[in-house]
Amino acid sequence: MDILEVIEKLTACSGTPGAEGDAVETAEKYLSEYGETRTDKLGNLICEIEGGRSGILLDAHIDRVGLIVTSITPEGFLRVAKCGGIDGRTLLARQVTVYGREKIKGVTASVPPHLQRRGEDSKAVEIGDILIDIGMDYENAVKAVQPGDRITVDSELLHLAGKKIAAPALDDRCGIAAVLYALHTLKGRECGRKITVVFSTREEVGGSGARVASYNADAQECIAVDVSFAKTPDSRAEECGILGGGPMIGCAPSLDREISEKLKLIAGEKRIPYQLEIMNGRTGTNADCIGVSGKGFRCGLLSVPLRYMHTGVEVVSLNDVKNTGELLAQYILDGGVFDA
Amino acid sequence: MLKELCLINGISGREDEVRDYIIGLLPSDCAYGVDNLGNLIVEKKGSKRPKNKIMLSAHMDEVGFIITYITDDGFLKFAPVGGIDARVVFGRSVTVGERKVSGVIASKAVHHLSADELKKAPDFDEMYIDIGAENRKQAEHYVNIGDSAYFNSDYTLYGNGFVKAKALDDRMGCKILIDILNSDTEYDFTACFVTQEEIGTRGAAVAAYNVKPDFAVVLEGTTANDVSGVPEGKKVCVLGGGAVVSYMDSGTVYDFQLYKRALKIAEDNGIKCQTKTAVAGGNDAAAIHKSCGGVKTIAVSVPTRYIHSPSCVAKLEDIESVKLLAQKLIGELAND
Repeated sequence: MDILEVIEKLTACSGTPGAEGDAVETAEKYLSEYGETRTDKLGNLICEIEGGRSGILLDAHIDRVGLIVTSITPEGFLRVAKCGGIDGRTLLARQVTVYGREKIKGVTASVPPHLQRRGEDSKAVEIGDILIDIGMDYENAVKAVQPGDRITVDSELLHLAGKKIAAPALDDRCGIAAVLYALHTLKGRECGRKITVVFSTREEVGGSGARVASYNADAQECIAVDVSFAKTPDSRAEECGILGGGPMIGCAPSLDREISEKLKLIAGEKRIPYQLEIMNGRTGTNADCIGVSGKGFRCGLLSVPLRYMHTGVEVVSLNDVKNTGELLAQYILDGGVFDA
Repeated sequence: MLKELCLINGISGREDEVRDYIIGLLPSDCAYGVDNLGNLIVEKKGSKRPKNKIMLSAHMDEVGFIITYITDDGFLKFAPVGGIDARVVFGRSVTVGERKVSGVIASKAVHHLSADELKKAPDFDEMYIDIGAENRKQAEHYVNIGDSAYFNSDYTLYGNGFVKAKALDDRMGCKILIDILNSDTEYDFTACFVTQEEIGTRGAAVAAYNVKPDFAVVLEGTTANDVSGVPEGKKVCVLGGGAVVSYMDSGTVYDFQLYKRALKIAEDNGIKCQTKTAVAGGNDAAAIHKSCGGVKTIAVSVPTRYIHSPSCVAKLEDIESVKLLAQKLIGELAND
């Protein structure tokens, strides 16, 4: 499986929270190689791969941060709100795609430096002040766009040095790629377990997708795959992993201790590079809501280290994505915690 | 042609690629030279000899960045070249250095900001370019200190005749000037594609000295703020309103007779034209009107939104208006 190709296709999709359709469609093409797929009432993409007892649930979220149209001004500009926690500092003078009646291009307005008051450029921009210029007057604008339409900031995948890439929506499309890589690795190998895969919606607005998808899942344990912070020059080492250092194994009061330990053990045995991510309560990922969904799940968390989260230039190492998928596959082959 | 011009990279002092591209588009009957500051000066022969020497000018450089330092862990520190709002920089992808490697401009993740930091926009000294290098040595394999960096930004047509690109300021002026050079003109004139406008109209000062014109017409992109919520009087100028002729900006008090005459010429010829409703911005006229003992100078500009950002926006019909008015001005001023 070509991880880069999968990521390229997935990060080119929109799929803001509650409107994941095109991303789901793209992911479905890859996921259907491993079993029958379906979507549920909240749009989650689900695939159950039969294989025996003591099922395991694998989750990665498919939505990405973006903007949502709230109104159209008399001059034909769009006003917006955040749809997920997009980094507001990245929103001035951007080319955007508006998913209106048709897909159209626009630009977020900015005041040129020549006209700014002193000190204005040091203030963070408020989302309520963002205007989207779609080059239309009011009459044409209301025909093309309506409140509720979604907007994504245009940004293309870039290749950086040392098998690193920069792209939008790597949170969590690279997690999806890691799960697909695990399935690819497991294909044709007897693991004796039923695997339920959920590519969940609406994580960026609170995780309702994963909560609903896991409610009836035929599994006792779950590994959520998401992204977490990789060290940058201005961040604290204790809050971050190292880019290229391998998957981050989550250890937290809300996660199952035995799963965390087993992930460490297997990574060590199989010589897969890994690092630990220690949290002091919940994890800020779907593991939080899956853990307490329905009858409850024993949860583990694997995170791909990522820089500049929620911008259009999120950076990951392709090696980390691959190693995350590899560790996931090896964990499943070993039987998880129930066969231990 | 405008698309190619905008996609070429050239900060102040590094206009070489832009100049080479323009030279390739010059008509074969034009003599040209490059002066000590890199200005491209082209002599266009018309069908008649004018009484006055006319200079048309557009600048080749754009705003961008220069790499100032490489950190131990392989990140690039940088400074803006020209006036760039730090707030349009964060989270951008860029192309860096002679080897044209990709990088991203970044800073701390939003999740790690303190309440106070959340209220502030990141300043240049808090940002860096990440090219994926693990350390300084690896970064130096791709980039040298002093290299330039540029916004990655597509040339995109959208809405009702709008174009979005980087460097519209002033590759639109370059495009207009190239078009005029490639059309038949009544009178001789000198076309100058100048350097270093964005760091203080430096190329134009030298070009004007070398040309010694009687009249100069500066072709520019000028700042428009005609977006929602801005009161009518503060929009400066509007897209779709035609060529912008200014009576005064931060760099020049224009010759009032010439200003009024330009408006009249536009009106008489049915060319869409407007003035600025603010004294703001500046252009090469600032240097040209003071050179050679004084040159009567006028600026004719394309109204441009979000200028000096990676997403400048202009309206194609305004570019045409500026070209038409510039052509008329050559004819009118030649025998003034």
